[in-house]
Order: sequence, then C-alpha cells, then structure tokens
Amino acid sequence: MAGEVIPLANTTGRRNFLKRGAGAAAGLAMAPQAAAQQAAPQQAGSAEAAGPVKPGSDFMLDVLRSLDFEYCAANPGSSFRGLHESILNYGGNRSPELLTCLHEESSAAMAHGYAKIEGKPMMIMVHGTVGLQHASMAIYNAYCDRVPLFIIAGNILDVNYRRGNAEWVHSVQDCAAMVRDYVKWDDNPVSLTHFAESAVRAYKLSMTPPYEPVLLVADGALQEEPVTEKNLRVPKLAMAAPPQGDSAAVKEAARLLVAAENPVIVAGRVARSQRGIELLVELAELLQARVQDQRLRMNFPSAHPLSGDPGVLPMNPNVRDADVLLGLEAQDLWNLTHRMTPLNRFGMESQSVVQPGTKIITVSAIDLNHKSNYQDFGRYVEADLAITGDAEATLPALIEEVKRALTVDRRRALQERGKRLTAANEQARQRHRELAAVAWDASPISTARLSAEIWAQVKNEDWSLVSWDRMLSAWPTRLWSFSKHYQFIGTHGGSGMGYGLPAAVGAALANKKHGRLTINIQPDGDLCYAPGVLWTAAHHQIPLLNIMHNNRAYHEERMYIALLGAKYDRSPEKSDIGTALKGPNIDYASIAKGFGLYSEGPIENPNDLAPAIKRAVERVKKGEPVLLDVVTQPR
Amino acid sequence: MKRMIFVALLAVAGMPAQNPNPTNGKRLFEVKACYECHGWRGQGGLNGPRLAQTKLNLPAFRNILRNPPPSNMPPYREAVLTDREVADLFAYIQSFPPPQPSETIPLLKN
Repeated sequence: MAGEVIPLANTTGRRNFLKRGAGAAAGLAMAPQAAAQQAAPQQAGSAEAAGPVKPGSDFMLDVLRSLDFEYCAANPGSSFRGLHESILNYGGNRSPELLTCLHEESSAAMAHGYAKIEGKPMMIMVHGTVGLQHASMAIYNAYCDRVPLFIIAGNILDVNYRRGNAEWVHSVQDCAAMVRDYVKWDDNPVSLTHFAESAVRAYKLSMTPPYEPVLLVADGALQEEPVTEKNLRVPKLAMAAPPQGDSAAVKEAARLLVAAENPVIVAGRVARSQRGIELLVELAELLQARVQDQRLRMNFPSAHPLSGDPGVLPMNPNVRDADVLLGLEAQDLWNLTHRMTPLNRFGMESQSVVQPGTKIITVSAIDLNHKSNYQDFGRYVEADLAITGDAEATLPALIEEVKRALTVDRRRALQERGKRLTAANEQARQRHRELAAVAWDASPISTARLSAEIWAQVKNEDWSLVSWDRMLSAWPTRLWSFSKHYQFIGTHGGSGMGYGLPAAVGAALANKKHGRLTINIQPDGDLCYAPGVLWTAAHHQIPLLNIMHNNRAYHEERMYIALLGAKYDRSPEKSDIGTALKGPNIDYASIAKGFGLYSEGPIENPNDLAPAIKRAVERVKKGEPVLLDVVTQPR
Repeated sequence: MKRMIFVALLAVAGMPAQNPNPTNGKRLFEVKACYECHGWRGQGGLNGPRLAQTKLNLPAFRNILRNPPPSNMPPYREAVLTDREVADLFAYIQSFPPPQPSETIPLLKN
C-alpha cells in the first residue's frame, strides 16, 4: 500500500458533498439513506448529515495500517472517537486490534513492555489533555528506557468544532507540549496529507536508535469530516539503518581492548535482538573479558563463565580492577566508576574507584538524542574514546578489528585470563546457591526460595521473565539460566512506579503468538497504581503468570526514612508510617478474582509454592492470566 | 561483694550486666528496621549482608552498628540503640538456625 494513491471511495470533497446535499433538497433523485436523512429534523447550525463518503479517520487508518501495528491500546476518549470508529468498522478491528485499557498509563506501559519483546512499537491513543496527562509518566519511563511508542493524541483545535464544555476542557493549543521533553518527535498535522507524512516520519524516527516514543496529534475535525483532499497517498516507509561507530575509532578501541590486561565490558541496553547477544558473546570470548551486565536488556547469558557477578550492589567493585572499560549503551557509567559519600555520612565527596590510567571507551547512540530538562543522561563521563553509534550495529566492526589485532601469542595469554574468570564465576555461583539456602523454610517466604521454586516449574518451558529482579535481590539472575533475548526485558527506565504490571501484560501479549510462557514477579506496591490492567489481560485472554512479591511495604523508602532518622539520632521506629502496606493487608488474590482472573493466595508457607505454581502454569498454558499472591521477605 | 565489683566493672566497661534477652532482640530487629535490608532471618540480600551465623563477636558487632562502613546502613548510636539493646539484638541474631547445606536442597543443586 505504501507509496500508492489510495482510492478512497467518494472522495469528492466536502464542497461536492454539500452540493449533493443541496441537490437532494431541490428534489433530485436520492438514495434511500439520503432521503431518510433529509426527513430527519435539521439541527441548528448543522450544514450536513452523514452520507456515503469516508471520514478522514479512514485515511488516517490506512496510513497507520501501512506501519503494521498489531495493536492499539486505548482508554476511550471523544477526541479520537473518529479513529476509534474507523478501527472498528473500516479496519475490521484488525491490524491494529483495539485493546480496551482502563487507564492511559496502562496503555503506554503495555506498549512499553510489548515493544521490548516484539522489537517494534505498539500504537496507543489518548485524549490530548487528560489522557496524555494520565499517560505521561509511562511515556517518560519508555523515554528513559529508550523504547519506541507510537502515541496518537486526539485534540480539537478549531473552536468551531468544540461542541460543549467537555470538548473545551479536552482541547489544547499545543497538545504535545506537556510531554515534549521526553518524546523524540511530535507533530500537529493540519491536513490528511500532513498526517500521512508525519505518521511515517514519526515511525521512522521512533525506530532509529536510540529508540524513543513519538507523538502525533490527530485533530478531531480532520478525523470526523469527510475526506476533501485530492490524490491522498501513503508515503513509503524507508527505515534508517542504525548509526554505526566511526571506523577509525572502532579500530583504536579494538587495539586498546586487545592490549588490556583486564578489560571489562559494561553492557547497558546493548542487545536489541538475539543477534545482539550473539555479538556480545563473540566479543567477550575473543577478548576473554568479563561482562558486567546492568540487566537493562537481555544482553549476555547469565550462566556464561565470563558473566560478572550479579550479586553485588552497587556494582562498582566489579569494575575496580579494569584497566580498560568498555561501556556499551551503559547507563550512568560515571556512577559505576565512582564512589560518592553514602547517605549514612554527611557532606558529599566523590572519587574514582577505577585504577589511575584506566582507559574508558564508550559506544552509544544516546548522544544523538539528549534533551536538556529531564536529567536522565547522568553525569558526564570523561571517556578516553567516545564512539557515537548504536552498540549492536557497531559490534560487528569492533569484532573484526579485534580479530585483526589478536596475535597467536595474545590469544594464548587471553585464554589463561579466561580460565581465571571462569573459576571466579563458578565460585560466585556456588556462593549464590549457599546464600539461597539461608532462610529456605522461612515465612514470609524468602525471595531466593520463591525464585528457585518458579525456576523449577518453568525451566523446561519456552519461558520469558518480563519483570525486573533487582527488588528480589536479583535471585532469578543468580539462580536461573537466561540466554534468549525475550527471556528478560530489563526495567522501567525512569523508575516510575506502576510500570510493572501493565508492561508485563503488554510483553505477554507480544509473547502470546509465539506460545511463550510469560512470567511476571509482581511487586505489591507497583500493582496498586493501576490494577485495572488485570481486567485487560482477562478480557483479551492474554496468558500471563503473575506471582506477587508481596512484601507489604515500600521498603526502599522505609529504609531511607530509617537511615535519615538514625543519622540524626532519631529512632527508626516510625519509619513504617507512610511506607507500610499493612492494616489491613491487601488481598491481591481477591483483587485479581474481581478483575476476572484465576487466583490463589495469600501463600505464606514455602512448601505450598510448588503445587500452586504448577497449577498456575497449567492454566496459563491454556491461555489465561493467573495471579498467585505470595507473602515474601522484603528483598 | 566480689560479684558487685564484677558487675560494676562490667558496667564501667560498657558491657551489659544482665543476660541478653533475645526476645527483646527479636522485637528490636523489627522496630529498628534491621529486617528491611538483612531479611527476617538475617539471610541478607543485595541491600544488606547476611547476619545469620555471623562471625562477629559482640564488640565488633556493636562497633559496626555505631560506626557503619560507608553504605546505606544507618548509624545506630546510643540514643537509638543502647548497649543493652545491642546485646539483646546480637543474642537474637545468634539464635538464627543454621541453614541446610545447599547441596541437600534439590532445587539448589548445580
């Protein structure tokens, strides 16, 4: 369809349409439908009635369908009712299929989770004012997480078309202004031709690394009025090849890495695909270098002998011994290489934790899209070699340069280093198993026990863990074996709470057609922001195993209050006020049941976990979402 | 008389004169928010090290409480936790049962 003139039926224009209406009034032959319309009482100020023409929203949908959206998540809103109606009746509710959401934050977070599994954006629709306000935090999360979303915001720009107070309060002069700081690009098209071009441009920009959300305003009148423009066509989508690092800089990086005695690779959001994982493994094995995965994507197999210890927080001890540090789309690399005065001391000093003379190499596309207001870019890194380019796209060239620089003697020396790293890795994994055994029979259930019990039930399935595991002391990373790209999707990006559950539902939707078993270990506080997405999962029959990490508090915040109080010789005893989720305990199994899910819990005895998870897995494999409420230790 | 002198000397040295009370230590472990980072059984996690089967003795344990290393560990000085309470807390931590060897847990076998 792209690039062709779209033969919209009866696109004779509004002028002709009105003329036809006038002709009918003059007693010309009329179609039965038009006759019925003429018989109806005419509304004051109404110059037209519905007729056999197509609304602008049908053409908008033609454009959007050319971008191959599988789904469109939305909480219904009058400012995009035209597109909503076109999706259902013109598009047959296919490509995209409408997903009924109960909150715009859920729509955006679902799209966030979906994109990280599927590798392309989901479309969402929001009211240009209140809906976008609801969605804004989730959009910010996606922005910080470098994830593409395609946002359509409905708005009525022309005052003549605002039919009452609701449409005045839902209208805005510059719709995208409220999120412009954290979308990559936006536009406010004033014609259908303009909409078509901007939609294709927006998609292209969103999917050019660094991936980011984009926003397009769909004007209400443009959606709802008949098509008047001639020769409308859908522009061809020409996707941009991802930016690759400069070849001379890549060669220099390879030289430094091959000569290094102890290079460490820090992997942030490197792998956009399985190919990205394979490339990182190839580089690490060529260099016999440790990979410290920040677990913001599935970058590197967790059980690989060159994998750095995930059981350390903060991670900076793991880079202390590096003489060359390669940051690949690394997040907050400065913080990883420095120690700051912690919260239990007064004042603020910082010092580097890496050895003097350590060379820092960075490869990242993020410099291509920095903005000023929100400070997600982190502290400035004084790199010795900064390469602007997408890491996954740059890795093949880097690997080739490393191969060229490696001599036979150097390869032999690196193999010796690899043996040491492999032994250290095995020691760390054994230590994790020993630590997991502590409090094995405790109630509340330890997060290590919970993780091990889930692993036992899912490891022989084609599984996908779509929740972050840092809140569980990274036990899944420490005990499971992750190797496929879809087996882990990182985290929220902007630390905006309420991401977890809707992102899991969106990720599970993407996994559905692949027949994967999707697992979400769901923190209780996060679920409470917008639990209605459970209903969306039930309504659209999205298979998803939700297992609550119900520790009944916002523990990180409680720890901060306790720490700050003690620092000033005040007892931490009141630190649960405002942070604990007790009195009454929240009954998540009943909440889930109310939204239409099968649920069990609260489960407090660790010996009850295995049979409950087994029952839940069987139901999920039959295609339904399930929730198990498990009462857990804090972390 | 000798016993009174011994008790007085202990008090001067900052040592608790009475047997520590692990039941009170359990209460303190909760209300002073120790479990938040170290877990209800002192198993530890990414936010705090394991306390169960600690190799520290009471003076070393008290010293860490009073002067924690640079970290997110609160400084529990005398105004927040008396020496007597520290001893109770330490007694409770020492009461944590030893873990099963991981080799005997089928789910943790390599």
